[in-house]
Amino acid sequence: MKFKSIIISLLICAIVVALAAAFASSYPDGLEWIAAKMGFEGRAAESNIVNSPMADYVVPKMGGGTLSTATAGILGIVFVFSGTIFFCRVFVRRNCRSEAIQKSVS
Amino acid sequence: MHIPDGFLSIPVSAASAAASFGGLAIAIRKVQKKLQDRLIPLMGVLAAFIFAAQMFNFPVAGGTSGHLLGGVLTAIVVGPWAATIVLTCVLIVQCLLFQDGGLIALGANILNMAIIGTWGGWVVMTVINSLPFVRGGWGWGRSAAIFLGSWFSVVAASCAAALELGFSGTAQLATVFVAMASVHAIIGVGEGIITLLVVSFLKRVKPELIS
Repeated sequence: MKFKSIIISLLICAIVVALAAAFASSYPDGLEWIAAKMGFEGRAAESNIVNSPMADYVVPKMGGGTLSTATAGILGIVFVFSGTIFFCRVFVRRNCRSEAIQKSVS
Repeated sequence: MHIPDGFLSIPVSAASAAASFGGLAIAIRKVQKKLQDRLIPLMGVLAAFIFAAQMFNFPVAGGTSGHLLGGVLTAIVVGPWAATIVLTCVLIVQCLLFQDGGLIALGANILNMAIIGTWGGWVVMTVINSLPFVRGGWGWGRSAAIFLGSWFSVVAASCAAALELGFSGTAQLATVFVAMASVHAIIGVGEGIITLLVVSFLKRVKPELIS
């Protein structure tokens, strides 16, 4: 994928994030809503295994507003993009390369 | 649809983690065979888009909201095996950085959304595409395949989640199954529409991306 295309696509993602931060519905999602209706939503509060830096898609030091959400989302884009590439390079491509090396050596 | 920690029992969490780990391992093997370097940035971009779109909740019915799942959309661009990997990466980041989906429940979330949802939708779409009156050329048939496949992916994923909740003893199985399926049958309409719009946009701008 060409570098320019990558940048443009990531900018589009950033715009989607900004729009989400500004306009996304704050209604609970389907599972949360059903959990509330059926009375088991309380179970989620009991466990907190992972203390994530940007829980609920906000940057804690920036409060809970649109800018905070947008910033969290932009950081998320960076991590998801680089994380996916890292995953592919390390876990998916690696075996290809070692097979190629073995073939060239034998 | 991201299940937080506390909703699933340990056996259910372990079983779904094992299943998703196995599914992911197969997906990695399958993608390895035809992985070209230029596919990797595309997968990264798709993951970024799915992540961004999943932040955009839209209201449905009375008092609940939905968001794009994106499994079928990703599969249309890079195939279902790579889509499993892309969705998995999104889910991992969402869990670790944003506490969207529990860590112990991560296996279940990957199983539901990256595997069952993505593949369920892909199969439905493929079946419709193979019907004699749909084959050959674009038209309402292809669009129906994309819409119904995307719709089904959301319903299938939610049903899998409902089964996990039921088997965990968190909720009464039949009740939570009907509730999840009904709500997500409506959310799935949004998935179908968004997927169709994005695919037509991509077809116009970069037709080589759509097989």
